[in-house]
Amino acid sequence: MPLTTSVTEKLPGYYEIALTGRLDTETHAELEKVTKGLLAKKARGLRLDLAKLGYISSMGLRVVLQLAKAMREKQGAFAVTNMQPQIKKVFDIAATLPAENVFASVAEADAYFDAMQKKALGKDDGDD
Amino acid sequence: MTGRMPAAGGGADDRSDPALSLRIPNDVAILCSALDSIDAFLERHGVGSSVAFTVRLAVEEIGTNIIKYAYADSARHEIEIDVRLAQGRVLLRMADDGRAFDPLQAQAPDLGLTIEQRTVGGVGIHLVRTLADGVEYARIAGWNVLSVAIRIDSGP
Repeated sequence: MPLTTSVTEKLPGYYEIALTGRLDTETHAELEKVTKGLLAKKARGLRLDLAKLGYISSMGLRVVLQLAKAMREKQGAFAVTNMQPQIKKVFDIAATLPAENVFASVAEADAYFDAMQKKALGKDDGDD
Repeated sequence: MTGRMPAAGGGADDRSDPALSLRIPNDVAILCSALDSIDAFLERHGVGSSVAFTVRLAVEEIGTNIIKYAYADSARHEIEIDVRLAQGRVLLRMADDGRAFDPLQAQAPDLGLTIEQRTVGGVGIHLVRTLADGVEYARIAGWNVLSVAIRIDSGP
């Protein structure tokens, strides 16, 4: 089971990407391909749901970090939820994600997305 | 480049221990299929998923580092991967005939930097050193030999 990704648009411009399998040397390009499309579509928020991710290596971490950075540069929202204990351990050891991007539950991340969206709507008039 | 890695001397090598020996070329795609063979071997011998996670991570991180950085030429090289279950541990040994490099002497990454700013490859080795129960390096007859021990009782 290498990697499957499932993308859902939760709110206009806010996407959840659920990952199943492994995010590593073999599969990281798969996630890059999916997110490249979403970034091109001017995504304002991305949430990675890792509930079914069983494995991550440094190549996988790198992609998640690049994504966090890309969203930060767009002043968009970025969140990672439902990390399995081993995955969490790898993130902790590599100290790769600012705590503000990590949520224990989808509910917490939703609240954050709502807040980000309200902020975004307050700033512009919902362009696209 | 040619010839085999000399057998480790004075081994606690017990031929009855479950063991898997792989010889792969310096090719990332083949390394990835080796990871699946190792998973299957560990599963067959009842090794739990959290230990298998660490073994997979060690082989992937060490293997990709070898393939990316060990060789001064673009020739085909052989990488040896040995996995043995003994003394309640997974004993992994990886050997390459690339330039002498002791990853344990490499600086731990400065975790204050962003991942893009850190030394390439540094994060992977840091993960392996932290998750494994022991990592040792030796240079033997022109081969880099990295031995990694992972306790089997460490988690489900």
